[in-house]
Amino acid sequence: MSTDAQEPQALSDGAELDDDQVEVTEPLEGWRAVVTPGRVLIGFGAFLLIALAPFATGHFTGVHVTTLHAIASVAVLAIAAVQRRYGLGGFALFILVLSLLWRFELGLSDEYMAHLIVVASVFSILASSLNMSVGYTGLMSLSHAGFMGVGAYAFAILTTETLNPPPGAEVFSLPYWPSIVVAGLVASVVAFIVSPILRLRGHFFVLATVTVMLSLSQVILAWRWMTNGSLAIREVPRPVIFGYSFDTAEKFMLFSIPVAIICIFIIRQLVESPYGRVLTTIRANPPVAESIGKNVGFVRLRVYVITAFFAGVAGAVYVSYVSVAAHSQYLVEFSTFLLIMVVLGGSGRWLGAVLGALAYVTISEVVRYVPELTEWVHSYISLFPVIPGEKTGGITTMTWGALLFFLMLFRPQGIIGRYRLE
Amino acid sequence: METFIQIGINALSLGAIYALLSLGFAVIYNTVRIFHVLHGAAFLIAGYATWWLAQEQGLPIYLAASIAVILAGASGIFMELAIYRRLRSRGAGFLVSFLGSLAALFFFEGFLLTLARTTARLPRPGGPLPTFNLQIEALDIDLFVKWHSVNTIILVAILVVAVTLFFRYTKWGRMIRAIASNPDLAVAVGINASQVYLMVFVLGSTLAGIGGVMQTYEGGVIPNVGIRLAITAAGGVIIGGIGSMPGAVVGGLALGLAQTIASYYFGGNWAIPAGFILLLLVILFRPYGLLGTREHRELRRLL
Amino acid sequence: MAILEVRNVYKSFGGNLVLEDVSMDAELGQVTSLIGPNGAGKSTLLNIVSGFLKADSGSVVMDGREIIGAPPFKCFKAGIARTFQDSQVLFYMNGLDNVVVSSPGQRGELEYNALLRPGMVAAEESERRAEAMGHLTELNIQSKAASLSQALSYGQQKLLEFARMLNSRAQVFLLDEPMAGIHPDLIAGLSEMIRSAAVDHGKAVILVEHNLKVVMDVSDYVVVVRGEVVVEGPPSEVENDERLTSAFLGFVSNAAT
Repeated sequence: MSTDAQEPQALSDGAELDDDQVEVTEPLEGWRAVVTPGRVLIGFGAFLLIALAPFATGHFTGVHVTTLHAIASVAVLAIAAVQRRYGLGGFALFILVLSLLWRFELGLSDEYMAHLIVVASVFSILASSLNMSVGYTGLMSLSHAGFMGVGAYAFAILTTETLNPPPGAEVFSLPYWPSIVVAGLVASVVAFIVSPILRLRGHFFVLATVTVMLSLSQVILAWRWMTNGSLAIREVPRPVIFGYSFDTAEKFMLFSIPVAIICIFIIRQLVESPYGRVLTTIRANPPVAESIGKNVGFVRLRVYVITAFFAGVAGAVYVSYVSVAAHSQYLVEFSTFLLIMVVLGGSGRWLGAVLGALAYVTISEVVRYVPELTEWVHSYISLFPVIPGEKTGGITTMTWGALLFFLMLFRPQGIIGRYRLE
Repeated sequence: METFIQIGINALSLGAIYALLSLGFAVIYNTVRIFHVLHGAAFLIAGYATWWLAQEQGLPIYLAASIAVILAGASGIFMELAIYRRLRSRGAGFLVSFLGSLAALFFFEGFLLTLARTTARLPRPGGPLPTFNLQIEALDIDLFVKWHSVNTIILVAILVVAVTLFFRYTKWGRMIRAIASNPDLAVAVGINASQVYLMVFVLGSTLAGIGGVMQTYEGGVIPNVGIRLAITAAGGVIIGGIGSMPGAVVGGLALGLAQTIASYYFGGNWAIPAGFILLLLVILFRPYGLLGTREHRELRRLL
Repeated sequence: MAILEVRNVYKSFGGNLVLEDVSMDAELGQVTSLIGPNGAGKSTLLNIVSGFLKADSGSVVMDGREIIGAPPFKCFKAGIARTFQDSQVLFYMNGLDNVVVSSPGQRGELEYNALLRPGMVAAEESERRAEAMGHLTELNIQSKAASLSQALSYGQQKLLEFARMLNSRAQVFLLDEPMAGIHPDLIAGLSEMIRSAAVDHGKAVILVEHNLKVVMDVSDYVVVVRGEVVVEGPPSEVENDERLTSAFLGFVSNAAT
C-alpha cells in the first residue's frame, strides 16, 4: 500500500498536546513490564521505602533501620529526579519526612505500628478494588464502603453466635476460612442485586451508588434481629492456623499482609492483562468499546461484582481484626475516603491505589493528633454547650476536606495517576 | 381513618422540609448543572445559627430565625465564589466538581464538629412545642397536632408559590430560566451568567436555610448529617423528576411520606432506610422521576 | 453474492420517517459509497447496520446471518467494524493499545484466562501486538505507538482509528465521514488508504462522505440516499444523473422554505 501522501511532517503538524500535567508518552509496556536496571533500582528502593517506613518509625528496632530508611528514601528521590518522575519523588519525600517526624517526635508503640499496618493492608485491598472500578473501568462508585460493610457483617453473622437469635433459629457459626470467601460472595450477590444501577450514567450513576451505600448502611442499622442494630456483634473470632492464633495486632499483621498481597496480586493480574485493556477502553469511550466487540454492559457488571467481592473480603478481614461488627455512621465519610485513596495515589494504576492507601493511613496518623487542637480552639471559642456524646475529630475531618479539595483543584490525577478525572 | 390523617399530617410536615431542600437543590442543579452536595451545609448553617442566637444569645426566635436564613443565603455566595467558580476556572468537569463539593462539605462538617465537640443532638431551643387537639366529631377523629407542623406546612406552601411566581414573573426569574434552558444562547443575548449563578446559589441556599430553621426549631440539630441531607435533597429532585420544579416539591413530599409510613409500620429505625430505598427504586425503575418532563427524553437516551 | 445485504429498512424517529425502504449491498473488494444531503439518513443507516440503532423493520444479512436488532458488539463479531464521525481514539491509552484492543477473540479478555493462564495470554498478546504494530507501520504512524492518543494530531488520530479498524479483521468497514476536519493535503492519502483497504485487504468498505470528488474517485458503486434510495450505480453513471443534483437541490429548497 502506498502511503507516500502521508508525509510525517504533514501528519505531525499542529499536534494538540494535552495538559502538561499528563505524560505525553508512556513506556510501551505489555502484559509483562520491561525490566530495566533503572526500574529494578527504583522498585527496590520504593519497596525498602514502603516496607521500612513502619519499622523506621516505630520502636521495633533501633536507629539503624531509620538510617537505612532515610538512605532508601534519598536514593528513590535521586532516581526519581533523574527519571523525572516527580510524582514518585514527591511521594518518597513525603514518606521520608513523615517517618522521621514519627520516629523522633511522636514515638509510636510497636503494637500501634502493627495496628497501622493491619489497617493499611485492609485499606489497600479496598482501594485496589475501588481502583479497578473507578480508575480502570470508569465506574465512579461510592458504594464500595457499603459492600465492605456487607462483607464485614456477613462474616460476623456467619462466624459469631449472635446475641439474640430469632426464636427457633439455629445459632450457626461457620469455620473461619470459608467464611471469608462467603463474606466476599455475599457482597458480590448484593452488588449483583443492585446492578441495574449500572445502566445509569454520569450524575445518576454516582447518585445511585451513594444511595446504595446509604441504603445498605441504614438497612444494617435497622435490621436488628440479623445485625444486632447499633448494639454491634461482638467477639468476632480471629484466625487460627494449626493452633497458632493471630490474636494480637503484631500477629494479625502476619495474616492481613499476605491476604492483601494475594488480593492485590489478583487485581493486578486482571488489570494489567488484555482484560484490563478492555476496562480502560470502556472507561475511555463506551460506544467505541461496543463497536469493537466488547460487551460493555456485561463487562461492567462483572467488574462491579468482582470488585464488590474484594471489598467484602476486606470487610471480613477488618471485622475479624477489630472483632466487633459495629455499624458506623461514618460509612458515608469512609466511602469518600476510599475514593480519596484512589485519587490520591493515582487512578488507573494498580500501584496507585496501594500508595494511596498507605498515604491515607500515614496522613490520618498525623491529623489524628490534632484533636488536641480542638481543645485549643475551644479555649478561645465556645459557642455551643458540651453535650455528652461521641467525641469526634472535627479538625481531622476538616483536614481531609481541605486535602481533597486542593487535590481536586490542582492535581486531579493523583500522585502517579495515569488517568485524569474530569 | 384517624391513623391515615395522622400519618398524612406528619408526612406533610416532614415532607415540607424535604421539599424546601429539594426545591433549593433543583434551583441550583437546573441552572448550574452541578451536583451540589454542599447544599446540606446551608441547612446546617441556618440550624446552628438559629440555635446559637436563640438559645445562647437569647434573641427572640423570629429574629434569630431571620438572621439565620440571611446567613444561609450569604453562604450561597461564598460557595459559588470560593469553591465552584474556582473549580470551574480550572476546567473541572462533573466528577471533579462533585468531589470538590464533597470535600468542601467535609471541611464544613469538620468545622461544625470542632465547634460542637460531639455528634450529639442539640435539643430544640426553648421548651416543648405547643400542640393542640384536632377533633372532628362527625368523623370521630381526635388528632394530636403540633402547631409547628401546621406552621411549617403553611410556610412551605407560601414559599413554593412565591418561588413559582418569582420564576414566572420577575426579570431575575426569567434570566435564570434562560440560563437553565440554553446557557450559550442566554450568554449570547447578554445575560451575565456569573450574576445569575450567584443569584441561584443565594436562592437555593436560602430555601435550604429556611428548611434548616424549621427543622431545628422542631427537633434540634445534629452536626454530621450534611451528606444525608444533600442526598435527601437530590433524592427529592430525582424522585420528582429532574428539571421540574413542582417535581422537586412532590419528590420531597414523597420522601417524607415514605419515611413516615415506614416509621409507623416498621418502627422508627426504618424511617431513614425507607427514604433511601424509595429513592433507589425510583432510580432503578423510573429514572426520569414521577413528574419528569424536560429531560425525560435526554435521560432515556443516556440509559 | 454480496457479503452484506441491507433489505427494506424502515426507520422513523417520533413519527418522522428517516429511512424508507432502503436496500443496498456491499461486496468484498469494493468501495460502496452512501451520499446524500444532510439529514438524509446515511448515518442512521450506518448506525442500524452496526447495531447502534434499531430499525423499525427490514433486514440486514451479514455473510448469510441475520443481524438486525443485534447489539453493536454482536455486529462486530459478525464482521462489521465502523468508525465514528469525529475522531474517537481512546484517551489515556497509548497508540499501540488503541489498535491491539480491537483484535477479535482475545482469550486474555476473560478473567479466567487472565488470572490462571498467564503464559498462554502472554504468547497470544505478543502475537497480537506484532500484528497491530504491522498495521501502525503500514499507515506510517509506528513512531506513535508509545504516545498517549490524546497527544496526537487530529490527522494522526484518524489514522490510528483506521489502524484499529484494519486490526479488527472485520470483513465490512463502515466509514462515517472520514474526511471531515482533515487537512486538504491529507485527503489524497486517506483516499488511497480507503482504496487499499478494499483492493489490497479485500474488505467491503461502505463510505459515508460529503466530499463528492473523493466519493467519485474512490468508489466502485454509489448509492444516493434521501430517505429512500434515489439513484444507484457506478460513479461514472451516477455522476451525470440529474437525480443526483435534484436530490441535493431538493434538500436545499426544502431547507429554504
